[in-house]
Amino acid sequence: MTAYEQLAALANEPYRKADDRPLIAVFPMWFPYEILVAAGLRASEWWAVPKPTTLADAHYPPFVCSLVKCNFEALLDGAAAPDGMVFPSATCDSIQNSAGLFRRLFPTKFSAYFRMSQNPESAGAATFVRDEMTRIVHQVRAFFHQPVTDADLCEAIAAVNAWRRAARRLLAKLGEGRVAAAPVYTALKGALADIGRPTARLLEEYAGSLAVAPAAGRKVMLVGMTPEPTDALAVMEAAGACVVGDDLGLGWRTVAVDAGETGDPLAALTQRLLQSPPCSSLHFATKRRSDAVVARARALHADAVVFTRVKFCDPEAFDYPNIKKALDLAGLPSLLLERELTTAAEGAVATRVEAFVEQLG
Amino acid sequence: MAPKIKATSKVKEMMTIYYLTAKNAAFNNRQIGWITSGGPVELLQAFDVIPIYPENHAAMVGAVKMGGQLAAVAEGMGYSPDLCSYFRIDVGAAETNGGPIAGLPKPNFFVCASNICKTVVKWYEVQAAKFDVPLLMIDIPFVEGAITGSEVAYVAQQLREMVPALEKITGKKYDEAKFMGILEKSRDAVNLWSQCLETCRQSPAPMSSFDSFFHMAPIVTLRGEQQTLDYYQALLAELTERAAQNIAAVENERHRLLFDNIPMWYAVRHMFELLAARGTAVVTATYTASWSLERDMTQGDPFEAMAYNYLAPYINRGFETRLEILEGLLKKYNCDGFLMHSARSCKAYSLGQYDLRDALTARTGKPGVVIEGDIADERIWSEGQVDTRLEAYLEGLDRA
Repeated sequence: MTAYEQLAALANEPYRKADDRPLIAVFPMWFPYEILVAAGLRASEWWAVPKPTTLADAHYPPFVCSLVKCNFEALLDGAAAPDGMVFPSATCDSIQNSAGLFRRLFPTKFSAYFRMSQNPESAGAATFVRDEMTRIVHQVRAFFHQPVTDADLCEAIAAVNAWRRAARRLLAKLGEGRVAAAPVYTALKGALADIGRPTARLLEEYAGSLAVAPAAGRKVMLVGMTPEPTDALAVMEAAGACVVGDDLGLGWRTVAVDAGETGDPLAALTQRLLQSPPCSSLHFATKRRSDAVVARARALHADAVVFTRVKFCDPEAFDYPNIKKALDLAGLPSLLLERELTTAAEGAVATRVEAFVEQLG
Repeated sequence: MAPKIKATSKVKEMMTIYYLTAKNAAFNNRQIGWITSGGPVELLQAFDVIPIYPENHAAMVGAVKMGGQLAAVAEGMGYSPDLCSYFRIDVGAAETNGGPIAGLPKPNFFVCASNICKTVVKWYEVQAAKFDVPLLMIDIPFVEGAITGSEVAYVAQQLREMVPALEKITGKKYDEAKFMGILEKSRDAVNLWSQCLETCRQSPAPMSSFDSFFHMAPIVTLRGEQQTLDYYQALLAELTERAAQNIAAVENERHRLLFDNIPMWYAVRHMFELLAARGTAVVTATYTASWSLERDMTQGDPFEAMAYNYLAPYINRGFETRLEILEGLLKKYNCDGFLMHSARSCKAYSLGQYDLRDALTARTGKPGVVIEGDIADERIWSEGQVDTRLEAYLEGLDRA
């Protein structure tokens, strides 16, 4: 199997176990995976495998996003049997409240929630976030009987930084010329299913093997949480545009910042989170997401922006009008695609994408 | 029909004066702070700031069935109809000065506490950017189990940081004695409110939760003020008297229910009448019992006690704690069952209700029903469907 095929297989089945490491599924998106890696666990951030959600619908009201529901469907129908789950509660109310459901339904499995500060400029934020990490280290030690030493954490930080560098190298390929975007994001999604050195190597290998055609057509940046369903990207490319980069959760935002590799490892992980780029799931008093999106579009030399929003994703829905306004002021046209993960690009979506690309000229 | 609660006219008068005072704040050299319902209002009052609650205003808009109209304004600006209707109403009202009081007075700053949902964090970001005024954020972590020292220390630190921030915004010095006096009144008001609610332990209940949804307005907006103490003293006296005379909110009370979630403000009267016609009284609600006094804020470090109390509300707690609170309320108020409103606007409150219903029934043997609606956007409401579902549920209670 090629590196891409291995990553795509992971993307399609993030819950498949390939070795004896306990698999810990992490809901997106702000979590120090390094703690799990340091304990010898498999850190697997799940961006959902689209599927009908008949079992999950018995637990979730209809106004919850398909990313959350698809992840739970995989648990309930037995497709996934992780050894534990982690819920970063800052992401949204749906993920926050899902922690209690998981504990109720799977009481014997490991479960933890992680609370990233929503007030990172407060003097108490660093202490609190560090306390959160310390609590999770203790939980992991107690549940898996794994010693998690500072040396383990330092090694994990180096490994996950290498993984992020590889992911950044892959994403950078998009800006180098014409590259089909969907496989790039599929590969990243697969790598997120097993964060660490093995998939870092696969990402490096895949990035190295990618053929980049000369740049042509209008350059588009993606904004949202996830680029999925990615069929719209193929429509965009067929119409003559190309994706040059993103401000996505399953994308740039997750891999943008590394942790320091010297000194106290938990302090380094804390600083990494507190210095995260603006995100719809985080609040920063001094950083506006709309400014960051415009700046990133400029840096990528994008001609336009496409918002890929999953229906019922509140954080992105709140940010959209202000980002759109900022893009309008910057002279950058944009298109909003709001979809369920579980639906294919129907005629209407394809027509809108084609019309948008045509308007770009 | 049971005689109406006399204090209802007083609460209407208080809220009218409150909004009029706020509208004239600038003439009286006072500042306006928009604050979330779970926010530390006592600190604003210590700086003589008039606190304004967009949530309370949105509920009022919903009650007069203007929610859909104002929400549509926000939707026209690009905000998804799937977002919280309180938020959309607030955006629409701010844009058009619409609604029953022609919009809220303009804020000098915002205070957002994240203990009620993540939505308010985004909501206040949006509105602070619109009005181009400071936003003071208080991150209050979601509590899965017991409240810990780390959580209390983190929240207390942020509350302390509000003091110099408010000094800078208002140009006034912090007066600790004044602050402690406000905390005392706030504590006493919450105690009185709790006593008012507890009169409903008696059967027949002298007040319905559909009444208490309106009588809670001062505990949300005017906590820490003498007039609030006076009001709840009067309400308590009236409810005690009604209880002594067996004056019931619902005549021929046969069934007693618990209500979970924020009500559907546009249909509160309809719900009351539908249930009352079948001898059913809603006697307790998680929403009205949200103001906690687990720590006396006038004893020890007030910021730590406040932190504890602001961490504690039902909506900031995990599944198992919610289940315990629900079970406790069912027992305390001797309920026959419970009614859960799955509110499209409020994922923080609504997600988990299906499992809570099943777990609560398994623990207590009391049946529950989940009905779907929204808190303030009447366009979501399907009255016929809800009525049919409730009637079937009530028939089941009759047979039990």
